[in-house]
Amino acid sequence: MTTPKTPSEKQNRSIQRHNTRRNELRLDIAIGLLLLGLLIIIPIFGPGRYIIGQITLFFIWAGVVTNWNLIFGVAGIYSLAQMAVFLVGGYTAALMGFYGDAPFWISAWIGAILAGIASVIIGAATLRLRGPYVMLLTLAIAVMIQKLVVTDVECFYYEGALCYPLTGGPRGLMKFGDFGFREFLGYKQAPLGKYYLGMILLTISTIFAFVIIKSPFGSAFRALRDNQLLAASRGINRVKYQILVFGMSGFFTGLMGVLYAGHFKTIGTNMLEIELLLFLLSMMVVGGLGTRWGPIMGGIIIMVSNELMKEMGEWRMIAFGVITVFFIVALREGVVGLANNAWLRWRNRSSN
Amino acid sequence: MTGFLVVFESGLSQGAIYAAAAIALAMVWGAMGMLNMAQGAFLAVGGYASFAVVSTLGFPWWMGLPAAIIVGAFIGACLYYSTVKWMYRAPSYDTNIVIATVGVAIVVENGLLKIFTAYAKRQPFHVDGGILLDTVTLRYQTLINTAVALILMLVVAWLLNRTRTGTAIRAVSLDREAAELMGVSVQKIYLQSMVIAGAIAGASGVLLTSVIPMSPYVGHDALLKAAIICVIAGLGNIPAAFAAAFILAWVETSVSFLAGARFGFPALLLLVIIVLLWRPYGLFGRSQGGRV
Amino acid sequence: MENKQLLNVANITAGYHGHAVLRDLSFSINEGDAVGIIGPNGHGKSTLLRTISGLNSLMAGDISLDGVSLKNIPANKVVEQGIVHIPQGDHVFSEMTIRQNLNMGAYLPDAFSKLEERLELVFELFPKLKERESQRASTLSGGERRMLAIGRGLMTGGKMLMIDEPSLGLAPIAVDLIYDVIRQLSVEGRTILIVEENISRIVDFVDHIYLVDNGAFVWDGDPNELAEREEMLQTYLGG
Repeated sequence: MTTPKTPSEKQNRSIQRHNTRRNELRLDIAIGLLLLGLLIIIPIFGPGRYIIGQITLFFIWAGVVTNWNLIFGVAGIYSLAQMAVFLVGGYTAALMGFYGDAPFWISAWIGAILAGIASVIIGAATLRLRGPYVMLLTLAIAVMIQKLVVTDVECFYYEGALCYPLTGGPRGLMKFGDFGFREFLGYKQAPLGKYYLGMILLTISTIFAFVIIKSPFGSAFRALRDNQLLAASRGINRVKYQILVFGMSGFFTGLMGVLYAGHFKTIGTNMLEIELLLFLLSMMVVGGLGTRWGPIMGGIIIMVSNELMKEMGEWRMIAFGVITVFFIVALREGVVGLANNAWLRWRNRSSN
Repeated sequence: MTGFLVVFESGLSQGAIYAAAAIALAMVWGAMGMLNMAQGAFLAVGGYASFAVVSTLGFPWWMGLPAAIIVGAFIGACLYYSTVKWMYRAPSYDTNIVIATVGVAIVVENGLLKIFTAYAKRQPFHVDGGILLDTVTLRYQTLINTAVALILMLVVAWLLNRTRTGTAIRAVSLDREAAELMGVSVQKIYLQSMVIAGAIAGASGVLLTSVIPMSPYVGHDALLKAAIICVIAGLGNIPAAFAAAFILAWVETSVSFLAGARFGFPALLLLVIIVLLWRPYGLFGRSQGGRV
Repeated sequence: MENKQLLNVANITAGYHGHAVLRDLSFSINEGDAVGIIGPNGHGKSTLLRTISGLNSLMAGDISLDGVSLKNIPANKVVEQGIVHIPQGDHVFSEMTIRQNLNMGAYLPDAFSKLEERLELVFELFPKLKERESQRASTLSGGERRMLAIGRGLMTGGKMLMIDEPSLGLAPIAVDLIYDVIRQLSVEGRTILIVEENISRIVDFVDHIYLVDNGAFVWDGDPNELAEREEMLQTYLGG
């Protein structure tokens, strides 16, 4: 593309860009409404508790990956501590429920805020680090938390003859209450409460993510990711943006953690294991690092593949490993990236 | 006195294992700028290779170590051909390769799980018993492991400093383009680095599983500790990694002894977090690449 | 006796990230010639050398050495064919000693077999290097590092030597020394291609000069013709 030189050329170019953005927005809204519509009506067909539960799980993971993508894909900060932030949210709600009988609807906010703070701390810690060192630092933080919790076996609290460690220890936390859907909707319909709650949370989270990506925020992150020195010389304040993105992403991830705790009524540090890390990583990579729809599309693909491979034992994880390696080696732009390229090629061909 | 001996002996034992694992990681990280997250899986492969060769095929127990070295070299090559070869010229290579190696690690570990099942196996390369000092036993295995780690370190140091291949590896790690302009094939060097590192990782796996029960995931903690050692010793500085491994092992066992076993590893993790916050490229690292 | 053509660059287009810096550029060098490339900074002089040595890939056109095409050949293989590129900024192996650096220069089997005699030659040309043979390259001064870079290139041998800005950042005394050596190499019959900002340094021994501007040759000729082209030089190089 040649650089526009005359004022009218420049005006045409900016009109072009405005139109592209508007079309992109329309496309996003169309896809979003379509998906949302589908998800809203699925329960009407009575697919059963299992499927409702799995889609709820999809909401949770897609929510985590959407927010992880902001840090990892858009900002290019390869943090591996996302699940630790997730657990801060979940554990806060669980601990408050277990020790204080706090209702979930209140502890959810506290959990999310604490998760946001934790995320900001991690973000601040990674400010001066580059590349694999970021991964190492965040991994060290996550593993440290995991080791400390999982070895916590000293009895802190006794219920009759049962011993409970302060943090729940290796068994994790249970019996901390939940969202109260069972009382509200009855046993049969309770899963639907969590389903729609998850859907709403994912939708809000996704909208926030899209707004960030398409805003000057997003271009600032991309600029920082692609060429730090150039961005700095243009006056982009890296510290401010880094703290902000970690904070927001942490808040929503914490909410997802709370949702998980309320849905499964149990939470433990097994979420910090490498298998789950790869599972979520594959969603992000297959969908497309840094793309808007990547986390959701990747989430759908991986969750569906997971269902199909449920009976395959070890082959399931092997398959996920191979898929992740394949995508990161050969198809770094992911499924959404491929679709984008195909769309651009089609549009260029039709306009020529 | 007993306390000191316990700390010393277990630190020595752990240190030897960490040293071997760290040397393998340091080689590849220093030479190629690659944090190999599949290293933990390679440790497990080494252990299982020794087990398979000795227990299943019936070779004498000491053949376990050479078998692990050969198998390790082989999967080092496999890792190169499946990931590095295609990725090293692309942007964000140093972070993408970490993701790729995580994927490979999962594949390898689950493959081991499939072949050998989750039941813990005993590493055939082991010697029981030891020398009684006061009330603490200085295990023969500890002495053997320390000797093996030392030999590995010396071999690698000799390779890197006295052979043309080793010098070329060092050259590539210092200035890749300059080395290319001298006729060095970067691809060949990367392959060689990974084969050597794989071989050492295989050997470390045998050492590791001689004191810990074997499982496909046995290498996870060791990998992280090796990474901590590399960051603290300075990427690719082999003799420093060797020394740092023992020092950090003693730190770990001391903390475990004084504050409780559960705080040993977290203490090391906290240490590396503090170091990275203070020096973003490790204690001795530089901002351009590493050195071997 | 006419010298045969050694390097032939034919209509090459090259650059970075899909963006062309050199456009449709052609020239050739005969065996034994010394050729100078001058021009303002950032206009493609280094890119030209990098493209010839294979560090940059060709987008279009062809480069051949002694009739053998170098298109799409990786840099390490181009060296094997006989092109030695001493890049801008030395790029010595700072953690290695002078001796180790020089040994690395003789990495290829052909060079390795002649290591001892070439080492002697380099030490003769640069006695300073012999003095500090076991010292780490990181302890050297700017001039010594330049000497090491050139010495290292000489260890590799090759049919053609390309030097990018030999006088860059050095004090005049150091530059004198460097150019004494370069001049001597040229007199001995080596084919040399020099990129140089400081024209006065090369006019007294090169056979031909090319002026690069915006990725293309805008003038070429003998050094003595250059004296008559004050205006042109003013325009392109700002006097």
